[in-house]
Amino acid sequence: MTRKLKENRKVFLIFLLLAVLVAAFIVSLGLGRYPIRIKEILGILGSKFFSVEPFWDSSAEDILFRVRLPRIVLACLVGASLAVAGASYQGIFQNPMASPDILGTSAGASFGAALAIMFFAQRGAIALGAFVSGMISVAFVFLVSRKTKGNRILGLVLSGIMVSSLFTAGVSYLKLVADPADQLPSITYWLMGSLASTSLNDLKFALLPMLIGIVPLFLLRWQINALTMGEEEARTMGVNTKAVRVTVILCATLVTAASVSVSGVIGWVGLVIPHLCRRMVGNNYQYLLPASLVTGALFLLCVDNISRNALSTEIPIGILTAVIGAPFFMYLLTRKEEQY
Amino acid sequence: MSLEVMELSYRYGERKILENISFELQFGQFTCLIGPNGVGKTTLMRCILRLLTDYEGKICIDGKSIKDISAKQLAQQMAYIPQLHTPMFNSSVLDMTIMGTIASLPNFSSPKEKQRKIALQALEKMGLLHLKDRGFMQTSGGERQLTLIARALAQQAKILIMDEATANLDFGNRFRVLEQVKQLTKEGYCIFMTTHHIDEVLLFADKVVALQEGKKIADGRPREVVDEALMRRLYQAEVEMVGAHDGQTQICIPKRGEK
Repeated sequence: MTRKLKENRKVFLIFLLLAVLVAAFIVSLGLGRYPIRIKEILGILGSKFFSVEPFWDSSAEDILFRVRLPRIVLACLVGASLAVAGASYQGIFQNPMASPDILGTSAGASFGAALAIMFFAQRGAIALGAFVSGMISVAFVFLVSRKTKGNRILGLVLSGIMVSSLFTAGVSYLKLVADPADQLPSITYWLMGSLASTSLNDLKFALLPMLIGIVPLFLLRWQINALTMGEEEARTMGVNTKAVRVTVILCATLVTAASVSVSGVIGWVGLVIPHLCRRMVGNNYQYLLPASLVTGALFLLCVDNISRNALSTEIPIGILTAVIGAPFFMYLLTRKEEQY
Repeated sequence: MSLEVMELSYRYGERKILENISFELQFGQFTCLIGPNGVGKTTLMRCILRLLTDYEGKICIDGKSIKDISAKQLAQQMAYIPQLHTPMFNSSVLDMTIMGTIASLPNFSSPKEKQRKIALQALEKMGLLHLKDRGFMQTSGGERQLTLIARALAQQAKILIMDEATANLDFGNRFRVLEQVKQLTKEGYCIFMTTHHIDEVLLFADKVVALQEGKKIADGRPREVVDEALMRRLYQAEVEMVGAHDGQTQICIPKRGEK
């Protein structure tokens, strides 16, 4: 009986978060230099499905669909992707510190993307560059960390720092040789992470790789559970550990690279959100992944609202996630209660 | 029905770890593997579990080489019960047990109600049902070891390979775990356990295999095989065999003050 309640509590919590996300989504559409009231938002959204007599300004509709909706949807997608990628990395590396930032995926992806900005300045090339270079960095970190002696968590973190710093150096060099008129500002601004000037095209571009990455991760939830027990135990449970590990790394890196290619480097989400969710629904990936997905989306949506509304000029979102994420992680680290 | 190890040899580079080892594990029997540290017990176990495959010789279940069985099929026939350890992420006792059921699930699918029932039955058998919602790390050492056995039962395999499953347990828990293991053999399970406790072998095992420097030096019923000479050979220890349980069993205790 208690189990039913407990399981229901987890499912209930996930749906509650989802409801909050939907509410936040609608409210976010109204926020901005040009405020739109909730009633108008609902009317405009409703008019797409039913015939509603327009009682709003046509510019409201324009702003809503052209400016705000793409950006808000993208914030949700990127937040969800980074959180799911972080949670997945943590599971297959059996390492609570694994996340796109610490594994060097973000740094690797940004190097590839910066390179692509310089040579191609084309969206597809930027994404591909981010993905390939992100994969290289993860593979590199994984191989190096296997050679480290002693504490495995520390080994992975240190390898991640090492690889990150190599790729960051690469990015610095690219900035040095970049054309200061147009390439340099675009690389610099993009590195800070930003969802500003999101277009519908960005959305279309990011959605597919994100789906391709996230769906297998969801299907492999129990295999990831088994892998958290360790390589050999998982193998004796009939799990094809190599295939699962490779699939999970590919998928998590794909969604990270897709995020990086449309929004730049947004740190901390992939580390903080999975840990927050572990506190809420426990470590079973059956619940942890959906919870991370929803919470990641909610978190980045809220942070993006601050980013575009707090000051008259936009604050790059990467700066904000760090300012919010780092102290919050500190708080999670020092709290003792544990869910399972 | 049996698991056969036939002329198994394993080398690590130039070093011979296991040399020409043969024995048989019967269903309904509890077999212990003994030998000093570093003698190749773990290597032997890893070969049987197919975690190592570059050995010479053959390991067969019912006459079929384990190399010819798919990973999933193997997991449905043979389960591994590791030494007590601390998982990186804590999960509930029930979740831990359900994990065993994925051996019989197709790839990309999750345990459903049926698998949950199997796990609950396994927990009930181990007397852990009241702990199912407790965190794995919030239970005692004995309960954790029993949970790992329950996970193996949920895997629905009939061969259980235990790696020093009693090594980190206190006196009471050790024997509670062993009583459960003994009960499982009566139900037809084939159990193979490595151990350093000779008492456990003498009190519970149906058969013992002794390894010394990669070679099998004894194989048979504990009462007939374990004696002062074997202990001297295996562990360079002088022991005395003492009758217990009105002479029905024997245990061995070390002699004192003599070299």
